[in-house]
Amino acid sequence: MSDRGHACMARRLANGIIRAARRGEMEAKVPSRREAAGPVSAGL
Amino acid sequence: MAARVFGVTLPAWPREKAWFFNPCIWQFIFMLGIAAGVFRGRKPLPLSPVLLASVLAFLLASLVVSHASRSLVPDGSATPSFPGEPSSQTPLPMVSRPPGSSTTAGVGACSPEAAYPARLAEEIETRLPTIDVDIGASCVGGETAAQTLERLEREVARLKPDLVVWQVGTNDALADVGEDVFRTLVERGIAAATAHGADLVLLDQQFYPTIRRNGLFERTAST
Repeated sequence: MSDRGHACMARRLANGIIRAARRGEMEAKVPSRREAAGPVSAGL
Repeated sequence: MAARVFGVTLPAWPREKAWFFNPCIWQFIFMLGIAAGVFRGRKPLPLSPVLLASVLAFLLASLVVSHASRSLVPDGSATPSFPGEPSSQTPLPMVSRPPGSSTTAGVGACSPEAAYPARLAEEIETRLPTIDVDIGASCVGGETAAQTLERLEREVARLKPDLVVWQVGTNDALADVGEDVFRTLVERGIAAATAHGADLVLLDQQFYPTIRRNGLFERTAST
């Protein structure tokens, strides 16, 4: 499998793992989208 | 020169890293521009004898300094580094331990860093910057599930990972181990991986254009 194939596989796998964890389908807990984004800047 | 001497660089996004200033790539871009101009104008490349002689002298001097005598090079500068350049000595951050065969080992990728286990760590860290991801690949090319199973049981008991990613089935389909045997082995692997509380992701086998016995692959995947 090429570099591009490996990158695509890793991206799809990461998406699947994080989505499953956020749905509560796994023992592992991951931050929600909001938590992962960190504090919101005031923009100043 | 500014990047090399003063450490001038640009921040990378979305990860908190420095932009990798690669002088070789820039030289390549310059040469592409020169080549495009020469071919478009169909004129010979203008050459200055003085500049050409200077460049050749510089190249020769560089060769002598970098190869002929290490004592001419100050410590630490024999292998020049540039701001943001990835270091091969940076330890690979390791949550899961994907066992598998050749693909997990990185076959086809140009380097271990380009193979999917290392890329997976990067992908998760990019999306979840507050989580430290520690991934290691435990894999042997050409291995069937029976061969992987023993190592999987041993490694999971030793490392107690949070997540196990197991890609399995390609070599079993090629070796035609039989659906019942394959099912039993995978069930044992699932039991071993989850015995210590790890989550498990099972990846089915890869399909590729030159498969001769497609039906066998289909049956292994459905098993």
